[in-house]
Amino acid sequence: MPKLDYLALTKEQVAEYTALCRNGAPAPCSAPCPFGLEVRTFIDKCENGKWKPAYKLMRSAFVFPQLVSKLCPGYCKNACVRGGKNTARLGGSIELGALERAVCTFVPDKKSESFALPPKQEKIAVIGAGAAGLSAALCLVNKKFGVTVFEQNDGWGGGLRENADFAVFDGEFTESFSKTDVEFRFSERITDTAQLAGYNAVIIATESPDAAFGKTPVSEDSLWCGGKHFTVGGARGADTMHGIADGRRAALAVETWLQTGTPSPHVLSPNAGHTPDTDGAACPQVTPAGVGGYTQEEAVREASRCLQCDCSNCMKSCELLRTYKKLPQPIATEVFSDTRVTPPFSAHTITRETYSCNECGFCAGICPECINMGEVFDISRRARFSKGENLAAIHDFWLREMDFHVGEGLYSTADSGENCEYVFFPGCQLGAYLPETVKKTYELLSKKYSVGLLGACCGAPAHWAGDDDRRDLVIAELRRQIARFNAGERQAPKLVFACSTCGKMLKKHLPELETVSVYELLTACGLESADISEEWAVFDPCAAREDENTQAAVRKLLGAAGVSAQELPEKGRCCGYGGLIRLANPELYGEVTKNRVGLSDAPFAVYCANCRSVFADEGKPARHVLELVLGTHEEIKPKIDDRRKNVLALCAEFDGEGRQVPKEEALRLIIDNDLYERLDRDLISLEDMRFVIENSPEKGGVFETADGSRLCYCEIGVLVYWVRYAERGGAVEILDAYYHRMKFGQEDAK
Amino acid sequence: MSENTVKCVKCGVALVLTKTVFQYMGRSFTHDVPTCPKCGAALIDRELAKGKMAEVERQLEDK
Repeated sequence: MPKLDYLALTKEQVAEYTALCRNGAPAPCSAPCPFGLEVRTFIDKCENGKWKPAYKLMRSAFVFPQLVSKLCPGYCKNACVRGGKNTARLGGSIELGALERAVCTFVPDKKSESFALPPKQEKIAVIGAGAAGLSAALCLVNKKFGVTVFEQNDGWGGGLRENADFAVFDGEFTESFSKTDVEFRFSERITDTAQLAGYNAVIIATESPDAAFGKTPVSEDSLWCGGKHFTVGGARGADTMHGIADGRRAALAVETWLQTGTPSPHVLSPNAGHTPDTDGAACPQVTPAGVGGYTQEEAVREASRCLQCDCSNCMKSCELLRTYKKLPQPIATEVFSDTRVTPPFSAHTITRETYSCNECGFCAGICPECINMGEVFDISRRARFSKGENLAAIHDFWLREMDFHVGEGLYSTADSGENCEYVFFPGCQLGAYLPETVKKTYELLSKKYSVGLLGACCGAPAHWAGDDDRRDLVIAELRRQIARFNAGERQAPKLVFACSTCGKMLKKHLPELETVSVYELLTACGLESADISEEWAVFDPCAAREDENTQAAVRKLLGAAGVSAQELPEKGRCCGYGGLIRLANPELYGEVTKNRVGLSDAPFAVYCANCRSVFADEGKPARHVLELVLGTHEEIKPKIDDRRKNVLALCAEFDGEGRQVPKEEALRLIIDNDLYERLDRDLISLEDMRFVIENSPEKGGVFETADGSRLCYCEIGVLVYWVRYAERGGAVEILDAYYHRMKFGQEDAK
Repeated sequence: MSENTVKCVKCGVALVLTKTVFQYMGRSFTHDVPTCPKCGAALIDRELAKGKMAEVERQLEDK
């Protein structure tokens, strides 16, 4: 995959990135067809009983549809996904030939179309009135060339005259040429092409290469023999079907040659370019009940067996792509055009999509060309941020969390003095949600390894916000913190991650350090049996999709602890948390989480704290693998305030001198449990509310309502928070809280 | 919530509907909201914040 540079994004770059997308590429059956019939469209017409449009498609491709449908051996059959090796499973290839013959019988009016084009001055000679010569003559006269056909016999048809169905073909030829002014000169033998000096081009459509007046095409895929000569059909060794297709190609080649002096090959058969979808249900070929071929009802049934082979793997599996019904190539183009937006003259077109992508990369894994739409949207996020066109409000909560975890909430054992071989990096959320698990894991690792502990954030929220500078500041702080473990000569410690997103971030942005997952290290630590009877389904986080070592270690740990674990039908799906889409697109977030919950009825064994929190919010039983194997069953849904306290408690325990568990704040807050839960889900913490109540008199405003309660506001980050409260003795009861993204002020202060 | 029943705590006066400027995503527009006539502090209730304002926020974000 080419790398995209968002600062100097060009249309060509984005086009190249998704150019290999196979959606819309010809179906496998179209490729071997000498005529390049667009089979999917033809089948679609048949399936809907649109026989005349189906016939027109055949005539455009085959020139002589009755002849071709009767004599074509069906090159497409072996390529049909239902046929070949899949015949037993999928019921056999589509009976395209029988369908084509049936369509001919369903359309009584086969009158040829007349094209209202101005006549051309050039005169073309065609030598031979076999199928190939007639095809060339008809296609040329339809382009309004003056056409003369020379035939040594006294009628047309060549070798077809011997065919039992010649009367049908003869009728089709007669009908096809009835409204044309092609001059047929039968019983006139051309012995030397010099006889045709008065013609601008000569099509040699004789029966064999030996009779081609010594003319051979300049290349295998060309009909042009140099000068003004072209060979088609038998004259270049082709069979009848390829000969008829040659006639069409020759008309195109002659036209181009006369206009530009260079004939292009005009190969009709496309290159098939996609992975056929073979998950169609088995369904046997429809056999006509009567001798006259398919009835219309039978033809519709046979057409409906077609799998309409096309690649839409990403659309089928990704909720985002499915919701917005946009394919990779148009998305890439929009990513580019969005970087060229000049308000108020033009507007962004994919803002919501950009911030709705989990950036989980699942699409790349199922794309036959490994196109990762997450990277494309990631480019859009970065491009927007660099121009100040990002949606700051939707990431603000997590960015503030990140700042806490690399500031006040950072804990480290580096001060204990010893150089260590490993540094356990539990990640911000493991400590916040599962502090006992962090402690027990560290304890267990310490028994076996020389290991330090560093609790902080990896910078993923800044990365997802598209803010490279802020992410790099976090990375720089991590680099500084890790260096503190390595004061001496010893090799830099290896980073032990518990969260696979941290693992990915660290590998990418601290490439000088070795990383290993905590699960791999723990497999050598000798765990006790966890005594858990129920069966769990392992939910691999999206960030671990390609980390086979971690996946294997997790299963080994569960096995060693005696936890029965089953596999999910899809591995490495994002739980919904990735890319921080929750506030950007709550509806899509809801759909993604619902779909993941539905992957199994069994409770999930997860190994990402965010997966655990997402499933807890959805009411899906889920536990962290470390919880399961270490027996630390922690609170399922700690609130924002609890998580912060958990981290500060870890700081107090591990960060050496001077760090204490914070005491209760002076302003005592009371809140109803249901309201607290609702506000917590809205990402409003008690700490935020306390801040607003304390700071609103100076930094915002305070109002008194008729019922005596107070409503106050002030800004936190990029949001404006409002809190309604009532004073209850020495405490304050929270009655409501909300926030909005808009800023406001008086008109004269604009 | 009627603006007449709400008082600004700092100024002790009742709020009156006043044209207020809202700004988001580089665009601005005005809307009448209860405001303290002395200090200019404006009140946005939940209904407005989570209703019309949220809707307009989303529209502006999508531009």
